[in-house]
This record gives sequence, C-alpha cells and structure tokens, in this order.
Amino acid sequence: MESVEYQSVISDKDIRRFPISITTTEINLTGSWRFSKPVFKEKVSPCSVGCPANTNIPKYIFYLLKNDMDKAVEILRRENPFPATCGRVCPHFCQAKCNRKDYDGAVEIKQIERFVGDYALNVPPQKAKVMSNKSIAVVGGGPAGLSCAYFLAVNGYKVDLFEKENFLGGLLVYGIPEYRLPRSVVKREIENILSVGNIEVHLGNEINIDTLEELKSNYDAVFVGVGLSKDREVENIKVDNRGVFSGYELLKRLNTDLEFGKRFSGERIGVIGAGNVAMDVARTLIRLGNDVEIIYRRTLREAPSFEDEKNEALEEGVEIKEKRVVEDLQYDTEGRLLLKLRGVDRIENGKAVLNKIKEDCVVDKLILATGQVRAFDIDEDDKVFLGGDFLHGARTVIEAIASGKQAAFRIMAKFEGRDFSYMDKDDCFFRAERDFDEYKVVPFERINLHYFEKQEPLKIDKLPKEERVNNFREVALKPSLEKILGEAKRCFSCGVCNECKTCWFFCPDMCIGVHDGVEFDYSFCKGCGVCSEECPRGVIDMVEDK
Amino acid sequence: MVKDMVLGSEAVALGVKLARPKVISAYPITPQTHIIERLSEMVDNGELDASFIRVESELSAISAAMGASQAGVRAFTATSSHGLALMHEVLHWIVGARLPVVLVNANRAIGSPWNIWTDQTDSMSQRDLGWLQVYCETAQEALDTVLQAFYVAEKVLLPIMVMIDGFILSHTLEEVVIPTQEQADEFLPPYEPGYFLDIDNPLSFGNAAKGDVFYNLRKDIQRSMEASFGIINEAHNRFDDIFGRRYDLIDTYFIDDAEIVFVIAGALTGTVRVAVDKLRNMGVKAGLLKIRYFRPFPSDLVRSYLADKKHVVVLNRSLSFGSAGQITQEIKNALYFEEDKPSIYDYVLSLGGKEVFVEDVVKLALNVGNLETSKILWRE
Amino acid sequence: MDFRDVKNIEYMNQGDYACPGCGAGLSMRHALKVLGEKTIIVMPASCWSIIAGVFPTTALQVPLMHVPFATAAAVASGVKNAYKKKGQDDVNVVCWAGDGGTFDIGLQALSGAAERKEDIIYVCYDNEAYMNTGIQRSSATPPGAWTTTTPTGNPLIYEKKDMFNIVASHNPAYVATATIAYPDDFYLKFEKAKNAKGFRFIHILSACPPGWRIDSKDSVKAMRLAVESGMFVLMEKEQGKPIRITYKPERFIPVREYLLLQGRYRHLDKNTINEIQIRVNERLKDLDLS
Repeated sequence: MESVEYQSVISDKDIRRFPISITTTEINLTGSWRFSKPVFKEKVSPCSVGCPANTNIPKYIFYLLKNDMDKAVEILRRENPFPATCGRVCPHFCQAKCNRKDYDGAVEIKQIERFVGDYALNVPPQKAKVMSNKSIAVVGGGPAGLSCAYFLAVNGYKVDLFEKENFLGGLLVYGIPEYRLPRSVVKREIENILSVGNIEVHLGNEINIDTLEELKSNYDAVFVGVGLSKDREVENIKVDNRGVFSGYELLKRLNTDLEFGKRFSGERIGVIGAGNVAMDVARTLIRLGNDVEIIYRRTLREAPSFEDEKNEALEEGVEIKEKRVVEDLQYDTEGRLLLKLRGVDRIENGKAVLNKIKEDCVVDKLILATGQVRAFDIDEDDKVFLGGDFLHGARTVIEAIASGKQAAFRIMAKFEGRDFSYMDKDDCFFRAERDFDEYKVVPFERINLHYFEKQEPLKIDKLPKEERVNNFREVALKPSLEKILGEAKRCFSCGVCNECKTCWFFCPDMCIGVHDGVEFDYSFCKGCGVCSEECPRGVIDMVEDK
Repeated sequence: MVKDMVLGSEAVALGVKLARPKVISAYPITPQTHIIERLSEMVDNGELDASFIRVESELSAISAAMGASQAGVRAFTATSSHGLALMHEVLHWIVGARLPVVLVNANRAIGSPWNIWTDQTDSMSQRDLGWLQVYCETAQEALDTVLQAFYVAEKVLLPIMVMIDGFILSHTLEEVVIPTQEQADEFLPPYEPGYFLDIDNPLSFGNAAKGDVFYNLRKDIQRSMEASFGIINEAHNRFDDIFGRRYDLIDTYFIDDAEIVFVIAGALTGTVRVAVDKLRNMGVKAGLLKIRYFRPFPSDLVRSYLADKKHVVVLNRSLSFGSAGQITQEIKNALYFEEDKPSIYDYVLSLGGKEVFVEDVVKLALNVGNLETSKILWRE
Repeated sequence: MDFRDVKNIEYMNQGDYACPGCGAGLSMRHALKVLGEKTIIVMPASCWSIIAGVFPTTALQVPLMHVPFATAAAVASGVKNAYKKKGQDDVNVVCWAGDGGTFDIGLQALSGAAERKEDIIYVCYDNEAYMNTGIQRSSATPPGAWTTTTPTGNPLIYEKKDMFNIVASHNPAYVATATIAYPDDFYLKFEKAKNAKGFRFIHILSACPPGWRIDSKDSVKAMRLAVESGMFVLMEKEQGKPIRITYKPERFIPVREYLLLQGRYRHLDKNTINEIQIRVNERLKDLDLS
C-alpha cells in the first residue's frame, strides 16, 4: 500500500477567490451610452419681456429669497435705476404676462419690487469711473433723462444733465401725488443715480429749439427727453386760471407748493379727462377737501389710467360722469361755472359723436386734464436721440425709463461702433448677460406645475379709505418681509435657475451639480432627460450628442 | 466528558451546541425533525446562545443560514430528502459565495411515491455542488463530525453537508461520549471571517461576474476542494489530540489482506462489519472500506487500498439512473489508471429503506465469482 | 419639499448599470440617503442584480449581498439575526427586490418573514413586469399592459396583486406604498420605516422606460401620473392604526392620460380604457377617495 500525503492549509489569501466587489462602478463611464445630453440654458421669463425695461425679475426674486438683498438690488438696477419708484407707480406690465396668471393669479411683482426697491434706497450703486472721452448732453431731468444719464454714467461716459425746473425728477415729483409716490423716495433714488458720478446737473436750464443747436455742436450726442409740457387744446374751453385750470400745471403746483393747495378747499370741482393726470388731480383735490366730479367722454373702463387709480379714486369719493363732453361753459354771477354737458354716442376717429342727452352742471372750478403734447418738434439724427414721453407720447414711468435706457445704449453702440440691433431683437432689450442669439421666452406649457401648489396672490394692504381722504399719506402700505417672501416663493422663475435642485434630486446618475447654475458630469450622464423634463422652469435643454 | 445514551439526531444536536452557532434556521421534515426540536429546546432554555429562526420552508432555512453566515456568524441548518432538494439553488449559491455553512442531512428517499425511509439519493443528488460531504456510521461519529465540520468549513471556506441515515442512525439510541464545552472550544476557535457584510467595510457580495472571472472563481473552488484534504487531516489530528478519537477520510476493516472488499458509506457500514466478521469466520478474506468523505473524494487514498485487490463490491444506496451507483463511479474513476484493476461490482443494495440483513451481504461475497461487472446489480 | 435640504452625501457610486431614466436606480439613491450608512442590502434577482455593477465593482457604498430569486426575505432574516447576536441591533437590513421577487417567487419567504415579525425592511421596487429578463408578465403587471408574454395585453380578468394588503394582513410594524415622484412622501415613509421596529414593507412604484415603452425623460412623470390618475395610491399603515392615504390629488386625472403616455398601453381601445377607469374608480371608492 502506497502512502498518500495531502498538502496542508489553503495559504492563498487572494481576495479574488471570493465573489466580492471592492471597487466602484466609476470605471464604467456611462456617458458613452448617451444619444442626447442636457445643457444648461437659461431663458427669458415672460415677465421680463412684459417689462419695458426688461428687468430680470426671476433673478432678483431668487436673490431676495436667498436673502442676498444686495445682489437682488444689483440685478434690479442693472435694468432700472428707479426700483422704489416703479414699485409704487409702475402698472407692472410684467404681471400681465406672468405665467402664473393662468394658474392661480400673477405674482404680485409690484409689491416685491417695492420691497427690494425700498431696501435699495439705502444701497447706493457703485461709483463709476470715466472710461470715455465722449461727452453727452441729456436734456430733461425726468425719468427718461435720468435713466439715460444713469446708464451712460455707469458705463463710463460723462454726462451734462439740463433741467428747466430747479429740481430733478420731472413728472415723478410734480406729476405724481405724494400719496402714491412719496417725495422722499424719488429724492433718494435720484441721489443714488447721481452717486454713480460722471453726471453734472444744470438746474433751471431750459433748452429750446435754438439752444439745442448749440448743444449739438458742443457735445458728441444729445438726448432729449423733456416730456410733454403743453396742454392738449380742448374745443370751447380755454385755460384762464380763474375758474379753468390746466390739470398738468395744477398738479405741478399742488405737488410742489402746499400753500397753493389751500386755495382749493370746500369746492365742487369738475375734471375733464380720465387719464392718470386726471385721476391724480381728482384724488389730490379730494384730499384737499373738495368734491370732485370727473367728466369723461368714454366709460371709465376704457380710460387709460391705471386700474388701481380708478378704483382708489372711486373709493375715495370721486364721482364720475361717463360719456359726457362739455359743450359750453359760462361763469355765473358768483363766479361759478355752469357747464352744458352733452351725451356721447360713440367716438369716431377720435371725435365724439354726440347724442341728444343734455345736462347742466355747476362747478366752482374746472380742470382740463385731457393730456399733453410736445412743446417743440425735433427729429432724431446722428447726434440727437429722443426718449420718454417726448418720443412716444404720454406713457408710463417705466416706459420713460426704458426709452432713456435704450437711448443710452444706442448712443454707446454708436460710439463703440457696435450694431445695436442684436440688443433689441424682438422688442427685448437686455443689458444683463444673456444669450441674445438664442433667447427664448418660456411658455406656460414649459412650467412643470407639479412643483407648485396653488396659492392666492398676495393682497396689497392699503390705508383704509377713511384714513386717506384728508391727508397725503402713502395709500399702499409697506408689506411685511414674511408676506413678501411668501409671494416671492410663488414665482415660477420661468427660464431662470433658482437653484431649486429638482434636477439634482431626480438625476438617477448623480451627474448634476447646482452652483450658480447647473453643471453636468458628462462622464456618467446617460442622457435620460429627466432633469430637463422635471425642471420646473425650463432651464435645461436636451441636445443631440453623438 | 460524560457518556450517555442518545439518539443519533440528538447526538447531532449536541455537536451543534458545542460548536456554538449564532444562527440556526430550520424547517421540520422527517426524519430530521428531532435535531431541530432538540436545538429549539436548547435555545429556548438558554443552553445555547443562538437565534433560532423557525422559517416557512427549507428554501428559507438554508437562505437564512446563508444570510447569517454572510453576516459573519456561525450558522447551522438541518434537513432531509425533499427539503434538501428544495434547497438546491441556494446550496449552489453558498458554494459560490464561499460560506462555511454546516448542514446535517438525515438521508431519506425522495418521492414519488412517498417514502420516509432511508437511502442516499437526496445527498448524492447534491454531490456536484461544491459542498463537502461526510457520511456517518454512528451517533458518536455524527456528533464528532459536526464539530469537525465547522472547523474544516471555516478553513476551506466551503460548506459541509454531514449525513446521517434516517431512522437507522437518527432514531437509534447509542452510547455516546459527550465532550465538554471546554474541549470543544479548544478544538473549535471562534469564527473570524475575513470578509462579511460589514458596515465598517462595505463590500458587495455576488455581483455579476464575466466568464473569465467566473471561470477562475470556479477553478478556485476546485483548488480549495483539493487543498481541503490537508485541512481535514489536520482537523482529524487535532481532534484525536484533544478528544482521543481517531477519524480519517475513509475507514477500513480487515482490508490489508482482503480479497473481497466491500465499499459502503453511512450507517449500513455496521451491518457490513458484522458480515465481514462472519465471512472471516467462514475463511473468506473479506474486508471493508467505509467512505467518510465523499466530497472531496479521496481517490488517491482509495486507490492505495484497493489497487491490489481482487474483488471490490460497491454497496450503493442510491444511483444515477441511466448510469451507475455514485460511489461505484468514484471507485472506478479512482482505479482507472491501474493496469491490473480489481473486478468492481456495482451493487444497488437498498433504496427507500429496503431492509438489509447481514446474510444478504454474506451471500453476496460467497457468490462474487458469478457476478457481472458490466451492469448494475440488483437484489432479488 | 425643498430639495436644497436633502443631504448631499451619496451612498451610490456613479457608473451603475441602470438604463437611462431608471426609476429603480433613482429610488435606491434616495432610499439610501434616508437609511444611511448603517444599512445592509439583500438583493434577489432583479434588474438591480445588473445595476449594482460587474465584479469586482459595485454601485453601492453600503454592504450588499446578492441572493437567489426566491430567498431575499429569508436571507435578510438570517443577516438580521446574526447582527442581533453580534449585539449590533441598530443595523438596517433591507431587502431590495423587484416585483417578480416580491409578488411572485419571493412571496413565500416574504410572508414568512413578515409573520415572524423579522426586524427587517422589505422594499419592493415595482416596475410591473420581469424587466431584467426582457419584459415578461408578473403578478404585478396591470391588466391590459403589453409584455412579451402578454403580446396582446395582460388579460383583463387579471388584477394586479394587492401587495399592500397582503403584507398588511400580517400586521407588520409598518407598511406603505410610495414613489420617488413624490419625494416628501417617499422620504417620510422611509424615515418612518427606518425608525420602526419589526417587519416593515415599502412598495414603491418604479418606472421602467424600456418596459413601459416610454421616453426615458418621462420616467418621473409616468410615476407621477400613476398617482395622479389613481392607478397607484400612496398610503401607509402603522401597526395598530388604520390605513391612511398620504396623498390625494386635488382631482384625479383620467387614467387615459397615464396609460397613453406609455407604449405598453397604446394598443388599448376606448372600451378597455373605460373598463380600467371603472376599476380604478371602484378601488378609489373603496378607499373613500372618490
């Protein structure tokens, strides 16, 4: 029998003997599976398009929510140096375009802007250095002129600003009553604009058609934004400053001279017109203790004044005679005015077609507020640039600001030999760093509604009407931070990344980083597209990738 | 150390207890049930500090044992027959996972028709898994082998199946020397796995492997099987040193000068021993080779004993239908390269508990000259 | 839920083998964020057997054990009992199984573990068919759905097995349905499961773009529409408390919108869709949801 020997123990400690995985799957570069890839592409929110100044609303709301107020102010000022003003008097075209409108009501951008704007009052913009040897004359110290001067100054241009009054602000000061726009706010915003430097202000310096020629020869460019300073004439009625006044002039006086206001008290006053000037005059006179009746040739619903103004005026006791014109007027023996009113059937080609209704009406004073026209005519040429109401007729403050800004950029584009057209494609005008070539407005359909619970818009708190008729306190009350943040959270942030991290959360491949936008790890991204589909606001696009 | 009269199944339970497993999972099946009844009792009365999982099937029994083993503790289960068959898939998995699970199988026939009596079809059907297989003859051997099994399995990192014959061994009272816990502890150190489901060292076990990797893993299992002979010998030596009882891969009886050698595994060895005694008294040079370890199969050792014999009668208690008895196949395989091989008889001795008497074996030896080697031999 | 508050730490590695847009990969990623590092995953045959990576790599940063198809709950029982005996009872032992491994082949082991009140968390990620083997019908496949073994649609007389109630009838510590399309619900339920003691079961709906025949980008959307249409109801039951619906849409959308997003239902005619709608309505009525 042979002997059998066996080798002893297993000495091989090699882990390969066991089906144990110790290294990571990171050697498997799954990015190679991909047919399409996600790219981060911020887009344009409809509100930004709605805003004449194209304010990047979602972005400043993002910073507001991030509690980075300074950055919010910076974003806001990038497009508009008057946020506190606009937060009060702007009709917020943005809100009409808001994608949330069809869901549960537009975001109350106005209130948010006001909140950030008020914060901005105490945060002056950075001083700018002179970077160009060109000098520009800006004529008119209203919102258009100031806006134009601001954007030129920030970009390093020297500006001489000419204003015929002995104060800056134009309509913001004398056209809009204190209870809608406190003087202190305007004053502070103008100070902030001037704090940029590069702007020399020449007050009490009225420019007419002759002196304009002089400016043209002394400056490299001239911006004219002097607004509309002449009343539109009304048939049969002449301003005589006895019983018949210009609404525009009156508002200017009332807003700048308190003593003057005392001459209007306890009277019955008629106002012809229903634009913003008419409303402002009417509401101012109410506050001075008068009865006010608006006489308007259309219905109030058709009136060009802001809805807020109409409603607040009615709340405050302004009466309205719709579809009436003043056919004739006479002073009676006591110096009162007897108005002969006629009913209006319809308006044809701007003219009232009268019907048979006749009506008499007695007032102590009559205010003409039927609009203003240019004081002089001038066209743009290679040196002259126009802006504000002077250019496009009576419009809103934000439109004046936008047109001043636009003029500033047209002027700079000319000096810098750039084509301006790339900046204003599709009426959208941005200074902010965005991709103009491919910008797209995010439609409602691109919003992933699943991520938004329905929530009523913020109700604006107003001074009770009994507390506002006898004083000039601001009607719209300052909203609380809590309410503002609540409202800000409603913003879809269409097309603008607000670092919500939804893409990161739903990425099955852990390929997404969110820091100042979205980054993708293309080594592992399998190109599933979930990030793009789930993004609540459409900032991720899928593009073909071979 | 005490001596006691215990059932074979109880001897197993005592062996398990001495090995201090942490998790036992089991499902009842005749004739294994006494093992787990006894173990539940030990766990419930605190004699044994282990979790006893009363699972809902044998599949779950072996699965839970596998989970426990992968979690790094000693795990045990017992079953029989249909139960073992139901475990089949997981038995494979445990080998691939290299887990030292110890399973005691009470050998029993598999239906249909129903049959609760012993044969080795159940465990022989599992011979190709990569489990080590040991067949026991006595209650003492069962107890001792269970203890050795943990030692060997944990060193080889392969599972072991310990077989006791249903009823014949499981339900028979025998005198057994019961080792003390101190002795057992000296023999079997605490289980310290190299790799397990460890939250401090997170590893993944069983991830999909490609062909070349899989091939090598399987090669390693075979290498471990081959190397396990050494470990088994070491275990037997240690066991002898500590307990004074000697075991080997195989056991022999009157083999040195034998002309007719019976080869058998399991409890019927006892019957054959008596037959050999009888034959020797009659002047016939009969001998016996008992297979203890069927996996790994100790071919070299078997050849060293059988190469120069005249007749080798293999007494199978199972067969691979369409081929031969599994033990016969191994014996033929072991002797293949011998020029002057013995005549090898492939005998199906018993299936499903068909009774085997000493006389049957004696008759077989006396008749050996007339037997055919070319086909399976059946009893009358 | 504000995703900015979700912890940044990942317990999954990049480079996993899930198909683009796979709901199962995404669900695991977030489940682990809740469960944390003291977690052991036991995984029966399923898509995840592949997703987890090829030897010697792994997609998980927690211990993982692959196990045969039918055995998950039993293996997990063994693992948990082992850990108990080691004195580390605070480890989460989690079965991560597909619908085949839960509704079908693994049901027995699951029931056993649930009945024994094993202290494990069983997660079934339900993609409603045997996706890993190439889209074959399981007992989780909804009526009408196309699979390769129901080429003309899963017979309408079949009903998707009500796994929630099957498990709930074992009176476990916690049972819930969830889907990652509802992150706050998903996180809350895993948190509850993690903190409860005893048998816990979470049935998560998990979109399978190839199997559902949807664009991978619509993966989360599909899971969402399943809930919004009432095809999959988010609910939970804590031991000793009644069933609670955890999310109810303002108004259920028609199942049509959910079905027709997916290629596997696109062969359905109007009547069949109506039939499915009626059944959903009945179920919602039973749950006091309509």
